[in-house]
Amino acid sequence: MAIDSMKKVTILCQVTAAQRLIKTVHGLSLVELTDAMAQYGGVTPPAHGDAGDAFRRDEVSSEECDRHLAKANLILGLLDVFFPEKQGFIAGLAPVPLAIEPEELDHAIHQFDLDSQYAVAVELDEVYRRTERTISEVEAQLKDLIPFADLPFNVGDMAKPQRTRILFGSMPAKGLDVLEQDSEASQLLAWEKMAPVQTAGKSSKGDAVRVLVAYQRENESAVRAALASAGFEEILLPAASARVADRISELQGDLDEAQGHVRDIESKVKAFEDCRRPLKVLRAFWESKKTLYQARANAVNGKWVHILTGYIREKDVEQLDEMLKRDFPTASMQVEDPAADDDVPVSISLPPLVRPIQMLINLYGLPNYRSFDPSPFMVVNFYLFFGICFSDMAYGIMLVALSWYIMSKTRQYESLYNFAKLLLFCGFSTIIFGGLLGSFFGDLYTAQYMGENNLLLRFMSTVRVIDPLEKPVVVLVMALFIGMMNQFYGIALKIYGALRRGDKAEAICDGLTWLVILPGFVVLISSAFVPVPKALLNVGLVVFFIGAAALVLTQGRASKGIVGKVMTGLISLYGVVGTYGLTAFIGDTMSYCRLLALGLTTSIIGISFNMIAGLLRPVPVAGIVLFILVVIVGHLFNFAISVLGAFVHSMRLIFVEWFGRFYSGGAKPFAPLGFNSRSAILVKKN
Amino acid sequence: MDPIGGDIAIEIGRGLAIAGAGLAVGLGCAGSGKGIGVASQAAAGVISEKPDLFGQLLVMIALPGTQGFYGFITAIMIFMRTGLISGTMTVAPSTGVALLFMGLGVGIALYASAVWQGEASAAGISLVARRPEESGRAILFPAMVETYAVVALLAGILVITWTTNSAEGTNVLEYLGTIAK
Repeated sequence: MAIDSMKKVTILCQVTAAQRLIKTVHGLSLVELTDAMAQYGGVTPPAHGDAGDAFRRDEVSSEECDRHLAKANLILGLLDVFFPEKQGFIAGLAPVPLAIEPEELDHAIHQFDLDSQYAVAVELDEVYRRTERTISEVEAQLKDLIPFADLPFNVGDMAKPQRTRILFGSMPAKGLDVLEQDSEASQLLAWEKMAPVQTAGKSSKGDAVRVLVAYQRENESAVRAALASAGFEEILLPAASARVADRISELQGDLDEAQGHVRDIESKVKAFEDCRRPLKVLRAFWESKKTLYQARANAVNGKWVHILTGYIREKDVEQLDEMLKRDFPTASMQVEDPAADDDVPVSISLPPLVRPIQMLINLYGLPNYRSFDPSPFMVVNFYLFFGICFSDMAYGIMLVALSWYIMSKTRQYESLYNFAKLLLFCGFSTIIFGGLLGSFFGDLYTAQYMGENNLLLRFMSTVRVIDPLEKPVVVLVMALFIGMMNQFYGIALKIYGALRRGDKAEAICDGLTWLVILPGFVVLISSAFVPVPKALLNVGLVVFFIGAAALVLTQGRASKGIVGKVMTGLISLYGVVGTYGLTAFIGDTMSYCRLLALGLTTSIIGISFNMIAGLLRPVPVAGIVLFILVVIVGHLFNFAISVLGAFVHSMRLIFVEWFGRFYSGGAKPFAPLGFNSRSAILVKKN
Repeated sequence: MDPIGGDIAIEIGRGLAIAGAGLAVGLGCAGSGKGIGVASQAAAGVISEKPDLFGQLLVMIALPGTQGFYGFITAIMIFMRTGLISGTMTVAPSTGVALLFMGLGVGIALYASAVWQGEASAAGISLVARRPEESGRAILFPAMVETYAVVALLAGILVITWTTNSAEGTNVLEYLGTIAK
């Protein structure tokens, strides 16, 4: 049985032992806690009876965890600013959780001085932020001043005239025309376009021009309004009694100094690089502690007792019981079967050979607790589809080698390891179908590339059964046949599922009837294309009409009235309503023609690269090198795109055509309270 | 065969067939380019926030890329079956016209499905961005679109095989009958 049997567990202990209990449960990582209040919220403990004694939740606060997490995150964030963690392209493809050994965790918790490191880091962070702010301010000032670097006079000389005002600024060239046409403005103020900037840097505002504006003090507000409507932006010249150029070099000095500070900070931050790993370990620790604190909110407290409720795998009950007897002699545990309407979390255990395929179930959605796990049933068809889609012996060998390598590197990361193992089995299937369909790096083994009667050619011609390029129709018919069989298999599993639930009516009406009508339907359709023996045709006709009659009579059983029932039954034959349909069956079966198409894709692209390489071969001297180079690069490329296509399309056939017949996922996975999370796992010692 | 002195009808047939190959590969590649572009833009936005999703999103970006290769395969099939590569080309004008329109039809199917697959990928990418655990289903949506590119490719391959193979290509039903026997 692939879906683990689950039990509902309730643990009672003294209130004084509450914290220790949940910590121990967290350490064991066997129980998924549920909200005990849902069960005991309305219950007032007996013997006291007054309302103040009603069960209540713990007040939980994760403040301590948040504080530690903030500290670790600040240091790691600072480190990432200056020394981002380097990650290879391949590692970026599949991020793995942080694998932590218990000793390392222990060391980080007890030896690593987060507070003193934080004290240093927070100061550096502060200085860094301040310096960055200074740099951006200085840069902004410089940007404004550089256009006026060529002003020949001392700015201080015109700082405070009594009756006139002089403004420097920039405005769009069109703005000058606006001023020109504004009669009032031309009376109130005088302006002068300055020479274009002679700096190396490009002007930041497109067609902006520099202008110098003069006006009388009493007209200030009117002038400002006119200038604003013309798009004038004032640039404040430095207040200092110096030339603009001098001020610029002064600011440049400040900038250099600030950048020196940043380099200084960088060298100090480098010292934290050694702390990156312990910091990440600590972060994982505090994150797990936070989930532990939050889990406490699920428990309820009375005056004397503390209650935890949750789900546990039946096989783990004994371990929990032992722990309780040993560490909490006064605690009591009650184990019961989940009720029929409970939303039981699902955990699946499979033997190692089947386990990799569970990845697909995880992607699609886990089966309902009371239904069955399809993983063992899809071992054959998934690998079969993949093998046919990829179908190249050499690529199969490459895939086996690649997944073997990944498996050796990822033993501690369960999901990645299982994915690699899935690919390993896919690789074996690819080798088999590559041989049967006669593809080894496309047609690289043929006489034109590797010489007459070479060893590989002799081998391939012995194992090859059919060449899909020469006889595509034969392979197409085979693909459709495989598809048909797979659909029948799906319907059979629907019957199996219904029988497991004890629903005989569904098994017969929605499953068996289709298994009767469809083979008859296939015979009838085939007779339109190929000569079918008379006897077989007759059997097909009879079977078809028996099935059709049964469907018309049963598919409308939920509708009201005789007419409604028969009409629904008739329409369900076609396939809009009801559990399946003849058109849906045709559509599903035709979908399997992708097996041929993708198999052809792999080999034709391979053959094309061989052809291109072959064209280069006659080139003198370099020919053979170019040939080998194109073959290697071309086939690596084809391997990458074809493996993707083969996987996605095999997955689609399973998910859409096959699962559509009998399976609906969506149960929530069993997630026991414990250290492990998406980002970190605690390595178990054997 | 000397092209200048060769049979003019065969010349026309050859020209039309190669034009069909050009249409299939051109439209297919154009569609894939656009589809991948659409998906990449969506993915780049997500990766700026969640770099960890790169591996999953790369698959989603690559999905609309297959149509380009389906077009390429159609073209290569035409080259192979009409003898362009081996140099012994004999294509009747009627076959040439058939292959031209076959290439056009396949090309249109590839172009449209690649573009829409790109859109579906982009939608899937935003689904993964919000709920990374849904990546399996998100890959499924664009794969649904691709079905029709696969159907077009397969029809194309069969038409190329049959129209260029006088021995068994003339009557489909007859041919299926011979297989059944």
